[in-house]
Parts: sequence; structure tokens; C-alpha cells
Amino acid sequence: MRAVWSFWTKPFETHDHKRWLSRRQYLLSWILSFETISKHYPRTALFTDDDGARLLIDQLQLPFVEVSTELNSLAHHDPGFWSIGKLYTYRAQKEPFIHFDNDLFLFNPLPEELASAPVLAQNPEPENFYQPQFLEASLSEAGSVWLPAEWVWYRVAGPRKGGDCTGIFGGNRLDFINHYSEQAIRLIEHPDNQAGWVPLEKLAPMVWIEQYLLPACVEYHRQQASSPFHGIEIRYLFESLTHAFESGRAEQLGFTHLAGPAKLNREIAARMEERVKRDYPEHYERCLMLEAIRESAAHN
Amino acid sequence: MWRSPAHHLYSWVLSLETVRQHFPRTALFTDDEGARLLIDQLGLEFDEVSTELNALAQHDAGWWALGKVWTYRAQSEPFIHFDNDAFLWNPLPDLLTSAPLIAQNPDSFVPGYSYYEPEVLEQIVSEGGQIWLPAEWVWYRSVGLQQHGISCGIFGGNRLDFIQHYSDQAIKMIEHPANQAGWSLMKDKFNHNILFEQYLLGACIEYHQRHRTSPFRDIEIRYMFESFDEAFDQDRAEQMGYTHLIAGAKGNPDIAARLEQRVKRDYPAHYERCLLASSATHAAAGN
Repeated sequence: MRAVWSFWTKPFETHDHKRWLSRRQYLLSWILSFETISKHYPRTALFTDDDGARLLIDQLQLPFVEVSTELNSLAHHDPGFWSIGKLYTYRAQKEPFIHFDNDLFLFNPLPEELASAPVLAQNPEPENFYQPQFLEASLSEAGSVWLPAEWVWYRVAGPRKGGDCTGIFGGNRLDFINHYSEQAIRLIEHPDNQAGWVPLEKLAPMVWIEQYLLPACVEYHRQQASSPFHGIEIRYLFESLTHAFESGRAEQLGFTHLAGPAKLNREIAARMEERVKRDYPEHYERCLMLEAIRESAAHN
Repeated sequence: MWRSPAHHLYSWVLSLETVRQHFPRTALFTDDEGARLLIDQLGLEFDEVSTELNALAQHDAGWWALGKVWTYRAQSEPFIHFDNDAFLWNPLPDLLTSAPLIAQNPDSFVPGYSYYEPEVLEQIVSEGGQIWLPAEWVWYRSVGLQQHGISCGIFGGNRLDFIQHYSDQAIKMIEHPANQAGWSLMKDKFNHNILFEQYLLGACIEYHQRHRTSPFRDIEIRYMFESFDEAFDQDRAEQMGYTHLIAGAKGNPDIAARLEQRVKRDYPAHYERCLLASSATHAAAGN
């Protein structure tokens, strides 16, 4: 199975870096994510833009097997659409893959039933994490709106109402993954939605587009007898959010995801730094050097 | 729906004749067949007749309210549209005839517990693989306001720009290419006509009243009756001098007999023509 990461630099430079304790921690997470995962999945690929390739390949020297700068096509997109780089990356895949967020570390290989899944994701999330009605009301405020049929159907007839965490996401059914990511991208880029997007704070809506639309597409096509994706199946690393947060289960799987506020936890940050310093000293040194150069440039 | 084809024709006679007592400028929007029946055979004396509804020849007849919405859109001066099962015994108050929008009554409902079923329409249409909904519909469905439709036994007003926008949105919903596969999955469209006519009207009013930049932000609607219950309160309806034979009332034998007697007594020439036209239709259907 191919391991894929994505890095669209524009949202990182404008605001995403604030989600980390420091830029150094962000770079350390890239090292640890790449190194732990590539041990189990040596066929690695990075989808990024020119600036991302310069940082992660030229400067940090992470040895991805394949590097694509396909995300240059996002140069004129609003960085508020921070997760669209992931969606473009999902859509670009030509063979089975697993996409890993760079805040995710894998100390053991994933269970075989996951690697062979038609579609895989981290875990289902509950209804109260999502506010699709807020997005619908906000987009329609501007006088026109386009919604995917799967979204509309799932809202009124879906067997569940929550989303799916995509810390890891991928699978073998590339046709389905292509359709799902196409619908998500269309929701962002459709001309009818452009005026509605302008005033909107996009941080949470982008999570909903990626993670709410996924089960919407799965459940919709699973029950549609005439769909080319009829019977599509998704498998999860964890059966539920509770399951994902049971430390025993995550440890057993050798899985760490620094989701949300964990990125700002000083103790976790110190442990990550120690780990990289000990296990990947050359990368660690390059990381320190890069930060020193950046700070010096900032002061001059 | 009607007790007999003749009763349908009696209602046309009574509707036009009672309404024209108070509104001498009358107009019928129909198709060629409708004009043949109501004008040529029944001899109803409309001041103006348009066969603009010939444009609907290829549309699914399940969309029975589409002809109404098409007619709303075609108006180029202030108007009130009357259903042919609505009879007006007294003139309408000036407060209503001067209104930006006028309708019969608001219909409040709770989704999932009503004959308004926007959620069912959304489910069926989206199962066709694509869906297009007016922004007003999506907004009203998701913003958390009390839901209501607007009964259009009578509907019209002076704000033709708003009426055209609303009816355009309704027609677009029916005709949009994205919805065609979904409509074909909808086996029985009958109950869903009130959604693009009456629910969307409520949605458009609520939406534009709450949008400061809308050209319709000051839109106002006035009602004959303030609620569904009031509209069907016999005393209140008598006070307004208004009768609307909705749904089951059309098949009620007692009401049907009273309708027939009234037309026979007050409009005997028309009554005879109704009998002749309905028996001719019946005979033609039998051959």
C-alpha cells in the first residue's frame, strides 16, 4: 500500500502554524510522521506545492519516494479552505493508498483488514461534532447554493448523522474516492457557492465538508441499487471516538494522532522533540538549523 | 376529487360569477383545451383569455399547481388569482387589495408531522443523483425558524417583482435539469405540489425579509385569515364571505348538492351548458 501525505503551504503560512506550539514542532511532526509510517509503508508520496517541496524535500530532506507539486494549482484559492489540499490529493490518486495527516504517527503497521479495505478512515464521529445546517444556511444567505445530492439525502434520510475522522483515509476503491473528493471539491468551488463562502469563517465548515460528506457518500451509494458504488464498504481503525481515545487501544495499535489541542500540549511537544532528537538526529539538526536561519532572516 | 365532471364545471361558474361581482376585470390563463371548454362551451365571460399554458404541453400533469405558478409569473399588473374552487360573496377589504402580497392564510407546521413534507421531496429528488433547490428553500429549511407554508386559495398582490422572483424560483425547481431524474422517481407528485407553490412562497418571504441587501427586504404579506384554523372556522369564513372547497370538500355529497342547486338557481343558462359539456365529455370518453 502506498502511503501519501499532503502539504498545501498557503494555509500553513497564513494561520495553520498557530495550531502548533511552534513552527519547529510542526517540522518535527513531519519527520516523525514520515519516518514512523515509511517503516511499514516504504512506497511514500508527498503531494505539495513548490514552497512545500522546497521546505520538506530540499531543506528538511525527507526521502519521499515520489513528490508531486500538483497543489500549485491551489495558488489562487483562499487559504481558509485549508483542507482542500487533502481533497485534491485524494482525487489525484491512481492506485490504492492511505493518506496520513502529518500529525499522525504509526509505530506498528495497520491491521491487514484495513489495508485491504475498499475505503478506510480513522473512526466515526458523533452527530454533535457537525453542523451541516449551519453551512447550508450560511451558503444560501448569498442567494444561490449548490449541495451534493449525497449531502442533502444524508441530512434527511441517513442512517446516522455524524461524520468520519480522516486522520487516516484511503482505500482500494479509487473510483469511489475520486467521486467523493470530486463532490467535496465541487461544494467548495461551485460558482453558486462563491458569494456565500466570502464572509464565512471556514475552519469548521472545512472539517464538515471533508468528514461529513464522506459517510454521506458511503451511505447514499451503499443503498442505491443503481449506483456504480452500490454496496460500498468503509472500515475504521477505531469503531468509535471513545474507542480511539482509549489509550490502551491506541497503544496496542501503535497509533498516535495529535488531533486538535494536543498540538499545543507542552508535555507532548517535549516528548516528540526527544523522540526525533534520539531516533533521527540528522533530521533534528536540519530542523534546528532551518529554524535558526528563518529567525535570523526575520530579524534582519 | 370532484363528485362528478359537472360539479367541476359548476364550481367554475360559481367562482367566476361570485368573484366578478367585486372584481369586474377578469382574466383566464389556460391552454387551448381549457379555452374550448370554459369559453366556447361553458360561455364563461372572462374579459381576457390567454392560452399561455399551452407552454406546459410537455410538462408532467402531476404538477397540477405549475399552471398556477406559471400564471402568477405571467402577470404584468397587480392581480389576485382565485382557485376555481374558491367563491367570494363579499368584496375583499381594501387592506387586502392594496397589499404588497395577499394570500388566504399561513399554514404553520412541524416537519415530519404535516402534509408539508419538504424532507420527503429532498430525499426522493436527491436519490436521482443530483438536486437543485432555491437558496430560499435551503436557507429556510436549515436556519431554525418556525416552518410554514402559505395557502394560496387566493394569492396575488401589488409587488409583481417579488411575485415574479418567487414564481421563477418555483418553476426553476420543477424544470431544473438536475432534478429531472429525481422527479421521475416520485411516483405520486400530488401532495408535493404545495411545496413549490406554498412552502417556497413562505420561504421566499422569510428569506428576503431577513436579508438587508435584498431588493425585497420590505416585502409584506397580508392574509384573509390569520391561521389554517381560522380559515376553516365557519363563522369567520361567513364573515369574510369566502368559501374554499379544499380537498375532501369537493367530494362531499351535501356540499356538491348545494353547489349544484346554487348554480341551477342563480345561473340557469350556465347550468344547462355545464350539463351539456360534461355529458359531451363523458360521451367522447366512452367512444
